[in-house]
Amino acid sequence: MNPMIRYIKGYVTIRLLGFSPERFLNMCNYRKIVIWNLESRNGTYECCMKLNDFWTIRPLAKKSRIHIKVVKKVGLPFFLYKNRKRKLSYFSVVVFFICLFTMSRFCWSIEFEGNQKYTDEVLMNFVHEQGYEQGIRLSKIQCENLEKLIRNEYNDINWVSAMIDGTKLVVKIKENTELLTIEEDTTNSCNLIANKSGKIISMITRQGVPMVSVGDEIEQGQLLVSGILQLKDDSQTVIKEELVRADADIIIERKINYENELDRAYKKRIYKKEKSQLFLKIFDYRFELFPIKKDLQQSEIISEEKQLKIFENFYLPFYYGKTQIKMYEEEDFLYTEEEIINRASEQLEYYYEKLRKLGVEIIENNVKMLVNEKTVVASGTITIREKIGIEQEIKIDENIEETTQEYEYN
Amino acid sequence: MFGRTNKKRKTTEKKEKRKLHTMELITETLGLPKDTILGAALVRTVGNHELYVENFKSIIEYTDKKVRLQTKTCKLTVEGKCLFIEYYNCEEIKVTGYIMAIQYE
Repeated sequence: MNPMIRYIKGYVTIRLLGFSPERFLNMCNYRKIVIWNLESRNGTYECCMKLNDFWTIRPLAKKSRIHIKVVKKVGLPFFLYKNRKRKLSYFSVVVFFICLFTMSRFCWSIEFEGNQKYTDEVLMNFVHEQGYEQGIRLSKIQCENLEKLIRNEYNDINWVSAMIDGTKLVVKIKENTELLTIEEDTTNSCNLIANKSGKIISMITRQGVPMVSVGDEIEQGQLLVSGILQLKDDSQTVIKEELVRADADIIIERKINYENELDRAYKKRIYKKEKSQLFLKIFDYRFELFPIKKDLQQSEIISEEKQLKIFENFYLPFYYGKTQIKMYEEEDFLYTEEEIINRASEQLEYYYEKLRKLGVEIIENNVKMLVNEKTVVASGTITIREKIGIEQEIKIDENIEETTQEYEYN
Repeated sequence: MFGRTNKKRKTTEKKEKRKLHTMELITETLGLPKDTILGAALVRTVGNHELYVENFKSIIEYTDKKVRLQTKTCKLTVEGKCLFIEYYNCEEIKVTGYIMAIQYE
């Protein structure tokens, strides 16, 4: 039998004294009286028996001429009897269970799972705005409604599932991590124009009439590939004009200016003291256990808060935690020449990395660094190669339409 | 008079033996478990400190050095030191302690 149930129902340890305890034990077995922990001690026997069974063994003991002595009483019925005068403690136990029951009717924690792009704080603020806050009654939470609200607010979120787990509202989210590739409309005719100025290095035309060639200097807005295909007869007169979607890979080389000025002076935090204090939070009320006086005006405060829970998902509106206060003073410092050059080079490298991510190839770098007493200036030009060309819709002239119609009639 | 009773006893013992023999034959030929059909005692030991006996009927004798049990088919004697009956019911008994010998009668 489960020891817990044994304790709740109560059991006794009895000592058997007499002529033939075996007979008594067999009679108990015949009447299906459960006996455990049977031990022989100097001619006497000790065993455990349920409280209910104990009341029924008197005739058996008489029959087998056994004298029974109760050695130990264990269990809840004996505990309750022993503490029958402590009414206040019973009352507090009842109050505790009532509180537990009422608190289990409310939501005390909101948790988000699967969010990468949107932080917990952002989502929490939105959920709070919609009226779903810690302390709301569980019966008032409409999971389907919350799912709809989140989906409508955030387009990047593909799938939302809200569910109540104990006193916790769990919102599971799946974000759209892969970019949607919208299929380009290939039916529209268009020209390809330059979006940047530079010198053409390579050009591969797939569709359309190229208007520039390799080595040409082009300006921003210049037509690169025309989407109008002219069909000519033997006398080189235009018979028909067909509109296509201009498509080409055009790479240009151009120079861009880079300038970055960094200040050598900076402020550094020098930590003077570090203290920590414990706090308790009940609902929204926070109590500091041992408040600390701040000697310095400037300080960093780091708080760690944990919520109390009874079981895995039975959260309660009680929080505890530790606050770490780091008091500091700001002092002015100057970077050394080596340090400031390193910082400027790091920023330049970061700029290159950004360009590379955009698909730009860096050919030449002419950035120089000038260190003054107060600043460092990184300036110069960077020669890059990049792909250009944006589509521009062709405006159909009436003249073209007319000429084509005339030829069709002829 | 005593001669008649002895004869009767012998005949009943013979009958029982025959019955047991036929039952054994049936269980062996059909491949049935003997513990359920014949009620043979199932004894399981864990090292020399735990003993489980199934198809147990009653306790004949129990001291801290000796436990005699009546099973459905035979008597079983367990000898040892500090023997302790952890639990027992209509079907099974668990004996713990330092077990030195198990004997069938």
